[in-house]
Amino acid sequence: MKQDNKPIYKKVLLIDDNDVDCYITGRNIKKAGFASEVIVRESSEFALEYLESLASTPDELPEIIFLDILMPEHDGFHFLENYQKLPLAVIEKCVIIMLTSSLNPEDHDRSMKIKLVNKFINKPLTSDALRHLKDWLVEDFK
Amino acid sequence: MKISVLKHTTPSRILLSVYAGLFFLLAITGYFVMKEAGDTNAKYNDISGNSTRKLALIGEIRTGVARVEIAVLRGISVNDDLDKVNELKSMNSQYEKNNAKLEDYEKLISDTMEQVLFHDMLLKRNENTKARIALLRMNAGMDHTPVFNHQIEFQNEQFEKFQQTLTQLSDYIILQTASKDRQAKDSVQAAVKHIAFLIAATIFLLMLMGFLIVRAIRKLMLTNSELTDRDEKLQTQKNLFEGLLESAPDGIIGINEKGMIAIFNKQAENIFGYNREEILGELIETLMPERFRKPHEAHTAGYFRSPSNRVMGGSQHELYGKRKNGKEFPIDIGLSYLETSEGKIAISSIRDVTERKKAEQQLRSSEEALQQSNRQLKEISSSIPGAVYQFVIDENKRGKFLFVSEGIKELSGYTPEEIYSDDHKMTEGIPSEDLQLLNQAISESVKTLKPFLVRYRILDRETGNYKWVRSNAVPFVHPNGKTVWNGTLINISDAKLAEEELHRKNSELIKTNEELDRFVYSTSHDLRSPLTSVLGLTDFIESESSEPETIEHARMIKARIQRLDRFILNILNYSRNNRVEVETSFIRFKEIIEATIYHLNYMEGVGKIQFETQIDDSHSFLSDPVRITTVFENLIANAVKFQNFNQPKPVIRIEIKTGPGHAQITVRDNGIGIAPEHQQKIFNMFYRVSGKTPGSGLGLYLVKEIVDKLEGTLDVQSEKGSGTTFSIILKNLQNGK
Repeated sequence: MKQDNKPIYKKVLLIDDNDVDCYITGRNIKKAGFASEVIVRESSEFALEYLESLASTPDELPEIIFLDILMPEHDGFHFLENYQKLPLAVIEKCVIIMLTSSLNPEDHDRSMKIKLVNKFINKPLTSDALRHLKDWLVEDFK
Repeated sequence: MKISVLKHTTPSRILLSVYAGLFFLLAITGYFVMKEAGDTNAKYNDISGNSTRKLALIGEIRTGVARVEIAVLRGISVNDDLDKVNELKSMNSQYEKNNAKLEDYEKLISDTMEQVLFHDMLLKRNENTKARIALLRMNAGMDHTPVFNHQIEFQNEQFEKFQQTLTQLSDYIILQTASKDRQAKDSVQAAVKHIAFLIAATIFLLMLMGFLIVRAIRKLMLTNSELTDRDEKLQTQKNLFEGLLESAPDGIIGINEKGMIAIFNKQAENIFGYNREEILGELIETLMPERFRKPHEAHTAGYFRSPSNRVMGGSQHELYGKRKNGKEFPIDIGLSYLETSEGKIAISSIRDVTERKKAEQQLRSSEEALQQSNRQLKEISSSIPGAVYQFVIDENKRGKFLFVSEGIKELSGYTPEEIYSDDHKMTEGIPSEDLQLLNQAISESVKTLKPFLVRYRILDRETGNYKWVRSNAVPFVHPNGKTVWNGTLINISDAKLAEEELHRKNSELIKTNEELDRFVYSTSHDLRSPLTSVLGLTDFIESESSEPETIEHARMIKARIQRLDRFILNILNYSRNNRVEVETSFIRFKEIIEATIYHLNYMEGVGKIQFETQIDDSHSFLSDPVRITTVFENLIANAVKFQNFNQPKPVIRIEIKTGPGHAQITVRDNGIGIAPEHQQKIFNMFYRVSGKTPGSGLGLYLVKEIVDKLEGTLDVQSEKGSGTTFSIILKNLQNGK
């Protein structure tokens, strides 16, 4: 229980145009003690700008990025394409997790073919789902 | 006999005559040559005799003249008058002798030149005589004076001139004689030559004659032996003729100019049924049906006027004979004629053609049958939308149409006749790539002797469009070793159009399906997205509210939302199952079942249920993981829904055993069970046991559809109150499918 109260990650980035979802996800992350800070960017471009701005200060970079696929104008795949071009410091630091309500297996397969993507989760990101994710992350990345 | 020999040796006879003629000519020529030579010789002898006499005369004259002169000179020189007179007397008598001799000579003169010379001589003699007389006169009157001397000289001079003319004359005669001599010699030589030639020719002719005579004699001897042979031959020929006549396959009948039967052979007896003895001498018309008799008599007379070898009646006339029993029968008659010592005989060779006519009749009817079947073939082949054909590959590997039905005109634009005369017409309008296909198929068929079927295009020369045809032919090897096909050529343009239309529609359908797929996904996403938001918010209310009623309401909202979410998922999965191809990969049952149970933990009562899984997937199993996940989601959700929570230990047991061919899957619960009357209906679409039961009625229907799609079977066993077991056998889709 002690562990639950102390967030394991400093900062996560949510990239999603749906503000209600962002609210729910952000609230769940905090409630579950997954991370102490949740940054929301509503589009691929804003997220890329944000990440690039922190390239010189890697400590400020989010450790986890939750990426939605279906977004207006530029979708999640647009973000992934351009993310590869970011400085190595950024790419090394961040773990990308797809968080989407898409059930299209094509979206799943296409995402998992990209090496930068670590996991594909369907919405909603409930407290249960976060607990599973935490366990998985601890196992794979610690 | 001899005549006949000469007849046989006419060329020798002509030769003989020619030789005789030649010999005769030679004899005549010889005679004349000899005669001419004889004449020439006689003439020469004549001339030669004359000349001798003349020369002798000239000599005598010369001597006589000399004597006259001598007598003159003596008369002059003697002084005695008596002497003188004697001398002058002697001189005168000598002179007279000389005159006689000159006269003799003159008679012998034979040509003009001699005459001229002779007269010149006489003239000179006169001169000489005058000079002598003058001298003698002077001598009588005076002494030897210079004048006298001069007269003597003059007299001498005249005498010499006279002598010269004599010499000239004798020279001429000698010359003439020599020339005549040469001529006579030449003539004799020529005659000798002629005679030599004549002798040679005669010898040659005699030899020839001898040779010819020997030959002729030999021939005569031969011919004598032939003559004896001939009698034998004549007898043999007579036998042969009679043998031939009797053994001839045709009836042979000869009639004389009166129309009476003179020859009637054995076969004629057989044909007409008469004996020779009873028919010989009868009129030929006896052997004819009544209606032919009258006109025939006229024909007979006509034939004997200008007999020839020919066929009687001609092709359009049918001739009939009549047997002794009165029966008529068809015959063919050939006519010829003989000239004998007894007059002309017309010979008919007669053949009973009853059998042949029958055969002709049969042939005609079989031809009619053939025509009939040809007509049928034509009618039948014209009723198909194309052509039937018979095709052969000859020894030069060239294809040739033995038969092609009229329908080919519709397909290729050429009539069968045009195709028979030029096979290229058949392949003319075929595009080269199609022609290559066709040729490949034919050469393959030659090798394997299996039927070929090729679809190819032919250019329609009228419209410029391509027609699609299907050529389908069955080969067989003809006894002559060639490969022959019987086949059909069908216009399949309509079918091809339909096929193309089908292709077009199919690709349209695929496109529409893809669009529909995208539509379903994006719609389900758009529908589920707000639902997940609502679920998340409801979670907050449920976990953070202190109001028991609010918490209960939030839970109710959640349950309804989750049911709606499942429904949307099932619609999505149903839609996918119908349209999306099966995509296989190795199935990890454990992961799928764990994830499914995790996803279903929102369902009411899940926490109270004990899940038991027994998985033996030691044989790797290939199938569609997405569909199998859907099957488990629905079966497990169903088992949860119909669990009996009033019992102490609600259990859901999942057993899986994979094998090389199949996987056996069972999902068993100890729930409320299904009444037997519902058991067969639960897999129907939208079937619900009662209005109170949760669910859409789509889940089990979807399970059944997916199991069908994955080539498996689905079975249910249930007892009301004690639980339900679903048994599935799924095919191991190894080998790609």
